[in-house]
Amino acid sequence: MRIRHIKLQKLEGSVPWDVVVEAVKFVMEKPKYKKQKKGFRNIKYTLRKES
Amino acid sequence: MGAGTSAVDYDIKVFINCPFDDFYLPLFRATIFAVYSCGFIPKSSLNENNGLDNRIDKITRLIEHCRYGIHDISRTELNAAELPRFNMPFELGLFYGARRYGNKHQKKKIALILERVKYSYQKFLSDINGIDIQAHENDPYIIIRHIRDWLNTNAGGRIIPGANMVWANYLLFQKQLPELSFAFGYSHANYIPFNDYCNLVMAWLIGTRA
Repeated sequence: MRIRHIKLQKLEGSVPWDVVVEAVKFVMEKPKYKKQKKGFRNIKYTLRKES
Repeated sequence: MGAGTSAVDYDIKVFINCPFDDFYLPLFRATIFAVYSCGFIPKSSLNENNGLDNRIDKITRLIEHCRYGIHDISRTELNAAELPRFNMPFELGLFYGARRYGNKHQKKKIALILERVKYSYQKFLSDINGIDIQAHENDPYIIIRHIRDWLNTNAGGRIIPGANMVWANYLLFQKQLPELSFAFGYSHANYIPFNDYCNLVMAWLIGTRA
């Protein structure tokens, strides 16, 4: 199956990006959510490189 | 397209023209989630906060930099002061004017116009009769479906997930949002500012890969 990439572009927020990622990981990796984790089978979201 | 915006950026930016009140927040947040899920970038006047910036200049600049526009004209009813709200129809007019009178990039503009109940716009904005307008019925699922289908139609071969998958992920994101907000440093999800909410959605999507 061919994986297609969707590239996202982060914004200048008041919370640093690293903190956002850590917060998301902290919640998503809770066992109650891990089992429910869904994904688009052929789509991968990645962060665009900053120009 | 103006200075500082590449052609690639222009083709993935979506101007969101909608109310910013608490009642509309569930639809606004669903809109942001749908736009990101489809690989586009939502832009709103909430992106920037510069006290020296004139509001109308900010809006026209945003419109200039976005190929796509989502315009919700459903909130034209009277406010507490018994006055109608014209901001959304006005910004739709600016967007339309940019396409009509702008350069070759501006002429590529594409819009999704939303209202709450089908054909209600005919009572207050009959000049746009004949344009296909979608009704969202104040339902986040319907708004997600309209946005996804509209982007899918106009995305020029871009890969876009199905509406039901976007909705399933949105429900899961919503379920986790109170805990995400707390881990993020906010006591309530409604207090998260626009840019931080966008980054939260993005980080969640990147982390949600199966």
